[in-house]
Amino acid sequence: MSDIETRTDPEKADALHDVNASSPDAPLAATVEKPGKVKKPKGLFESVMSPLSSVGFTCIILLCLMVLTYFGTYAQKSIGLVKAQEVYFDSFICRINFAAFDLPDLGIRFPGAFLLLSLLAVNLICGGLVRIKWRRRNTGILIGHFGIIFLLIAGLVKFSQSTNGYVQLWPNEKTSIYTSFHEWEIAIGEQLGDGTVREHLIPGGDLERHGSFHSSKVPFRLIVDDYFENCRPRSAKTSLATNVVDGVLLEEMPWVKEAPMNIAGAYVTVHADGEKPLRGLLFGYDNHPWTVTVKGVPWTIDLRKCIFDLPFEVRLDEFRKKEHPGVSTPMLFESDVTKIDKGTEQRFHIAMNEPMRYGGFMFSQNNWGPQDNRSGRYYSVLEVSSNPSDQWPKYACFVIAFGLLIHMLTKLAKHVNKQNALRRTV
Amino acid sequence: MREATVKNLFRLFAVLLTFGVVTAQDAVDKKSPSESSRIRMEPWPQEVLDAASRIPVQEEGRIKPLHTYAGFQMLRLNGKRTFETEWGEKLKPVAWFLDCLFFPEQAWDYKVVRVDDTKVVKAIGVATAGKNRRDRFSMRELEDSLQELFKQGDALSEKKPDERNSIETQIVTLSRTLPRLRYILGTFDFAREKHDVSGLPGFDKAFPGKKEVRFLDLAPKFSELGEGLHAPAKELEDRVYDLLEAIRITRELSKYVHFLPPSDSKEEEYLACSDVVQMLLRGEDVDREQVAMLRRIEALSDVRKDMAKFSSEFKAFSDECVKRATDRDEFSKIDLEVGFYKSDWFTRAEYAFVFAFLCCAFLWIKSRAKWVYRVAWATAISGAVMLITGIVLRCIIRSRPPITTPYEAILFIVGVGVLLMMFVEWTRRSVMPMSIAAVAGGLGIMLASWHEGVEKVDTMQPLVAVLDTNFWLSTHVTVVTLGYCAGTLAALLAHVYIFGKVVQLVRRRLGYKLIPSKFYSDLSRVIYGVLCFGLLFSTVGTILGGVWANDSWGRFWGWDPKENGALMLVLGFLVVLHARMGGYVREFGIALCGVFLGIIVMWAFWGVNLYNIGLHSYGFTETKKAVTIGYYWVEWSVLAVGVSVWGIERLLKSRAMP
Repeated sequence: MSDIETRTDPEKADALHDVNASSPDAPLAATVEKPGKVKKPKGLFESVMSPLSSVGFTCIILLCLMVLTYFGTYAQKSIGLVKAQEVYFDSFICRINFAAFDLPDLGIRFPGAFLLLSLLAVNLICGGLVRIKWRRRNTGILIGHFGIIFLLIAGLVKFSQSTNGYVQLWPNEKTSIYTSFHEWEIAIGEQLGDGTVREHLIPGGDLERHGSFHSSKVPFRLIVDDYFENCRPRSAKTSLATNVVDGVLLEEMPWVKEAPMNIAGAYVTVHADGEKPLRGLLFGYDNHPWTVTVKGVPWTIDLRKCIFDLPFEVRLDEFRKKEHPGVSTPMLFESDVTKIDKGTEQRFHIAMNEPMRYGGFMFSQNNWGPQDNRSGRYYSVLEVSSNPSDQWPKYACFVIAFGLLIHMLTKLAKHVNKQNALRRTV
Repeated sequence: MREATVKNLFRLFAVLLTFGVVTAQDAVDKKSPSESSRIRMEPWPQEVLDAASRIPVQEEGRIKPLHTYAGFQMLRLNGKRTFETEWGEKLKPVAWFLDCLFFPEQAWDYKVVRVDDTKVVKAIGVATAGKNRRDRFSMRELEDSLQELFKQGDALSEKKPDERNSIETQIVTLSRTLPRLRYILGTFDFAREKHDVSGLPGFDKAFPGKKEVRFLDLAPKFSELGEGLHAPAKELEDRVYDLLEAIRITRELSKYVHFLPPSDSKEEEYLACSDVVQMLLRGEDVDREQVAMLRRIEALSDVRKDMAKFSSEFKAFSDECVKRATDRDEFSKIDLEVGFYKSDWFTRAEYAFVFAFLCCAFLWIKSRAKWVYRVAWATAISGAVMLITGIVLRCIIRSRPPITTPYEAILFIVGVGVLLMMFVEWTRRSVMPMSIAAVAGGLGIMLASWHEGVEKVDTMQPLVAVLDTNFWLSTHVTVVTLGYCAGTLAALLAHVYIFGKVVQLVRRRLGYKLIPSKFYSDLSRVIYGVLCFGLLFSTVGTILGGVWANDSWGRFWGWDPKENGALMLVLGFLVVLHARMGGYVREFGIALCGVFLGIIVMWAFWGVNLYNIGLHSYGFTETKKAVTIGYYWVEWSVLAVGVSVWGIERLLKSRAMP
């Protein structure tokens, strides 16, 4: 119970509580140099390590991450999740969009999450593992820091090595490819003699930079004159306009926050030695690719969502969905699939929260359709992801929880003992 | 999809009104709105209320007792779960619901429709003379304007919710709420209605010597007799039209309350009276048991004014409903749920916390009154026990972990916060943590009740497929909510610190005795402890959320607003703890950071839902939006006050330096 005590000098009280704050229970980093000791000049290693491992640096990185997370999240209101992730969280440096706050665009650059998380990893390794005193009382912190570094590595592996997409299957339909949700690519198709097609791919990231694409296996250069993240084709009133191809032009549209609604388009030119350049228009929703004939050989050029190969086939055997009685709230939706790998079949059950993992791929239940179908026959949409660090966050979670728990329990026990001792003394 | 279905239902209702038959054919006697409309002259006997309470009803995908069903219906319309008639009879939801079913003539005059701004009803042409700005209206007062209400509601629902003004939003809400009342009032119309069929071709033969025929007598023969009504004689055209419309409306109105368990055990949907009536009208084979239930309702309507007879027959009717649900193994938790709502554990806990707080307040003045301290302990513990009992009962009823909805999250946060502060009190014995436990308990339960009142939907709704996992609900959701709880608690403690400092400044200015600095250093340490607790749970909870997302959506982290909210809290805890370790913040700094963490918790918990984007976005009401924004303003003001006080303190300290 708090007793009110009489004090003549209020300033003294404040001075006292400052002393309290620097008690072992509240450690402060203010270094107190012992008298008579001469401070040694810092070596190069120390000069580099000192700022990188400092707590101040940690605080700055974490604060910057908070600011970035806030701006990135707020921006999602206007540009949607996918674009905000690309601009703020997958980037090294980003430009803060003040227009989302109805403010003038100040053109302020800010470190992106990729840079900040990299710096955090460096800071953690330098300060949280190398420079920290490896004592028993720091065991929990060390384990916790190790867990966070592991988590950041998992993120890096995911960022650089993973692919993500979906397969849409009707019952008894099978596939060995999956399609990206948001990424586009240009596929140049070479008609081989036996009726098969060999594809040469230009990834979407490169398309945004425009430029010229050339491969030794392709007898022409493909120049992307213009690339639009979102556009719609429309028939041109005059064929004299510069961007009209066969009476059609691409009208650039603003990016809409519902990512699937954005359909890419591009103006491309095919340059082959000794032949007249051919100008074409590619639209993401075209049913057929653009066909060009170069040196008497037909080639197809197609702008489409990225397609990835699976090293096995997947067949949908059955899809079931059920709603809660009397309402349209989904109770469950699940798929029975068969994986066919080199002639051997294996059945799997996929439902919400019950994915199928096989051969480095994970299949999870994503959606179904047609949504307004009353016939009772549906297709199933399975999300497919390939991520080498798939389960690492789970292990990191165990490590972090273990580390923090050790640290907190040690501290708590110490505190309770101290309080009991204090009470006994009183 | 659900909204579309509801909208279609309302449209259908509006069409019925357009024909002008609802009022024309209604069996309800339209007397003037006064006590003269009183028909039920004695209160409902307790055994009737008890029997009615446990009748299983299916709504929104789950089977619940009529006690719960009626409670939420009344809450939606009236804004609270009690209602007082013009003659001073206080009605609880079940009694009101029974009046709607068996005495609709009386219930039409019940002023149970709460309108927050009378401009809303004025806009649809209702006379508002003598009414307050916020007032309650009866169905009778509104009936003539229903058509206009639906017309406006339909037009306004085309607008985006954030583009509607307050009045428009209320019109849309009222246009969706009011049909529920109309349907409830007409649920048992089929049991009372008698139709004049004399002279209609074929009917004389089917019902010899009868001028009026009861609906349930007419319905089985209707498909056969209806043939003769296709081309009636000219003089009969109006009567035939009226009869057909009356049948259609009676069938339509009885479709809202689903309380007849299907006889086929494989069927999951409970039937409404309209389902049985429809089959009868079509001449299809109808389950005799279902028809017998309708006949029982008819018999009940006949004896409604003889309460003794009604009681015994109603008890038998209720027992039959219970038996049929029990046979389907769907009754096991109904009585428990009735008991849970009747016990009202949370309100009782709220009272206990208020009393505990009063004891604590007394202790601030007279700190050595040991018996008051003991009473404070006892009441705070009893409050905590009642709160936890309520939470545990909900878990048992739902067979779920404690948090599946935002309402439950609030209760859980309050429960854990109270226990945590009680633990701190046990270790420190300084009254302050117990005071905070009492305040947190009282205010938290109040917030939960407010939330329930704003949402006006059943708080035990079935879960969507992705949430249908007790493992993740009990790990990720529970753990991350503990993190939110710690952030909220840290903010609450920080408020005490900052306002304590304001009081200190005032006392200093007035030359009073100062509060000892130990009080502040102790408080700061408690905040520090809570932050450590919060870091552990919010970090582990957030990562667990990622692991769940990986299994559900195929990605660990998608920078979804809700995920970012949780991350912000983790980052907030980390910044404060590292800043404290680095000596960048001390006592006062930690308190200021605590307030800031409170803002982050609100942003993460509710604020990101305002963005209406991402996989975690839920419907967000205007009221909640206003409250969230209001909270931000208040908290930023507290932060400004805190920074000012900190500045003044430093100034005073520097002046006092030699």
